[in-house]
Amino acid sequence: MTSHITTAPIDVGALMATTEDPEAGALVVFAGTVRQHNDGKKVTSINYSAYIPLAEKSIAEIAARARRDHDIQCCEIRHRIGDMAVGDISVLVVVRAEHRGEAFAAGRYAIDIVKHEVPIWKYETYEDGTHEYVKGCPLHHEHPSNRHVAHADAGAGCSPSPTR
Amino acid sequence: MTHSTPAGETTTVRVQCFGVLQKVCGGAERAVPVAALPASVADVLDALVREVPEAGEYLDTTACAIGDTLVHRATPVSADDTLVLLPPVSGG
Repeated sequence: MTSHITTAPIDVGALMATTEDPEAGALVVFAGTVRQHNDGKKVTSINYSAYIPLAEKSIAEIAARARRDHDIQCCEIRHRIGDMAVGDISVLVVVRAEHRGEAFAAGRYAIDIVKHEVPIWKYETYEDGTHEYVKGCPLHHEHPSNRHVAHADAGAGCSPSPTR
Repeated sequence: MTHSTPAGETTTVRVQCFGVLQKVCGGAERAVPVAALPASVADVLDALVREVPEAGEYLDTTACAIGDTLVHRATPVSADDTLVLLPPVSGG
């Protein structure tokens, strides 16, 4: 079974190679990288942690939904956990499709949903010595206060759910 | 498997915390005492707040899982289960 969560650096080239498809005329690759500044503070190091049993299942389901809802050949998603440095790739989405429109749409869909639905947490350490878990998106369940509310700063990782 | 608890005895439920709750609860895992088993997820969360009052403010936005499945507040938790607490997520 494919492992979507890895502690090792994400191998972009390997994923490009394993998804090669002569029927695909479009290849969209999205990589999320560790940013040096967040909320006005300089980030010196970052750690991602995951609840792996559910994170693996969630990512597999997101890739399957991307393939079901878009006319694409493949959608592969990887997320790295553990300690990372500024510039490292934390998440990678690779989509191949016959045409670019569906490839872009599926890639956008996949990364947006990963940010909303996968139990992964980002812990940042700042230049001033402080550190904190980055404010995130509540996972959905029946509790009324858990209904999704978009954060004011969509760039913080929680933007309204895409409809498509 | 479901165990019942004789009246008067207390037992514990294994709780695993992630994200900010790991910090608030002082570690990734703890045993939370409950009056009886099976308890509901809500019962376990109430018991956790009695143990760690600071956790209370985070629980409204925290989802719970057993294994690889998200569970409702009314879901029963048995002695063999680990209740996993998942505060708001920030991957990507």
